[in-house]
Amino acid sequence: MHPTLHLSVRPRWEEIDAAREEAVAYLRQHDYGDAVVNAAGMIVCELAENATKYGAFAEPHQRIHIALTRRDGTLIIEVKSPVDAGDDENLRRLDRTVQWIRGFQNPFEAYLERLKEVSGQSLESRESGLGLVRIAYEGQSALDFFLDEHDVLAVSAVHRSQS
Amino acid sequence: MALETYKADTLTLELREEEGAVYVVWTGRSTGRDPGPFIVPVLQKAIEMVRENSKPLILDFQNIAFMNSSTLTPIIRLLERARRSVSTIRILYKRELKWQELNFSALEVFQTPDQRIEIRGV
Repeated sequence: MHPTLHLSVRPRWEEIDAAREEAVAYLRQHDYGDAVVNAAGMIVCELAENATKYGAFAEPHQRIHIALTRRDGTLIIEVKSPVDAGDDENLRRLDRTVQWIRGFQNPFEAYLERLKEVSGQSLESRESGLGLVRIAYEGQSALDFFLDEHDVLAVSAVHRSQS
Repeated sequence: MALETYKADTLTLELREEEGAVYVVWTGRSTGRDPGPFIVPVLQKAIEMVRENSKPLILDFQNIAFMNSSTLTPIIRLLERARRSVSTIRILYKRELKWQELNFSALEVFQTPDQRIEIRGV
């Protein structure tokens, strides 16, 4: 078994920052440096924000589950949330975005491309669309996702280096 | 010199006019779902001040601990608009923090050859 921190939060914005802080404290306890700690905190925040925005929390007991696993020199951050499998558009958009990022040799190029797109939008626009590409570039992580038979979406980020 | 402080949850923006520049100093953490309605009016006010007084606007991020991507987007859009106008904007960040270095150095894509828009690690 690889050591894992499990967190469970309600899909409420104010709980996301608390989860980020817990993840950061856990990694500091295990002697991770600032660079990895800050990257992991950002990844937890961005993935949990997406889970809150796009999750389908039909029952009050449903939660976002966050797991940080330390394994063989990598750090794996996985965020699970229930989704409406009938809402294909969100899942298709996630798939398109992950594939689009993978299409770049260097995630920095994908990030720049997205910055240019975002810069042209209206100042009042609420769309960000930066979260996943930020995880790939600033978080230096490979992204993947999996939808299980219970309509629970797991999005994972594998941080490449442990320091 | 004039000083105004704006606070939303864990984020504080300090708008300060000095002799040579207008400053917006960012401190704390920005984690709101939609921080634009808080941030944009402060930045627009700062832009008005620099237009009236022909001063540069300095956005100082050195003391910010965390920003979600929803916070980045209004900053990016402001830089693009400034790039196409006559405004002078300088972004200051703390180079020794890797997340700030990665995040803000990418904004060099908006720099102008005449250094009207400048991204500077300190």
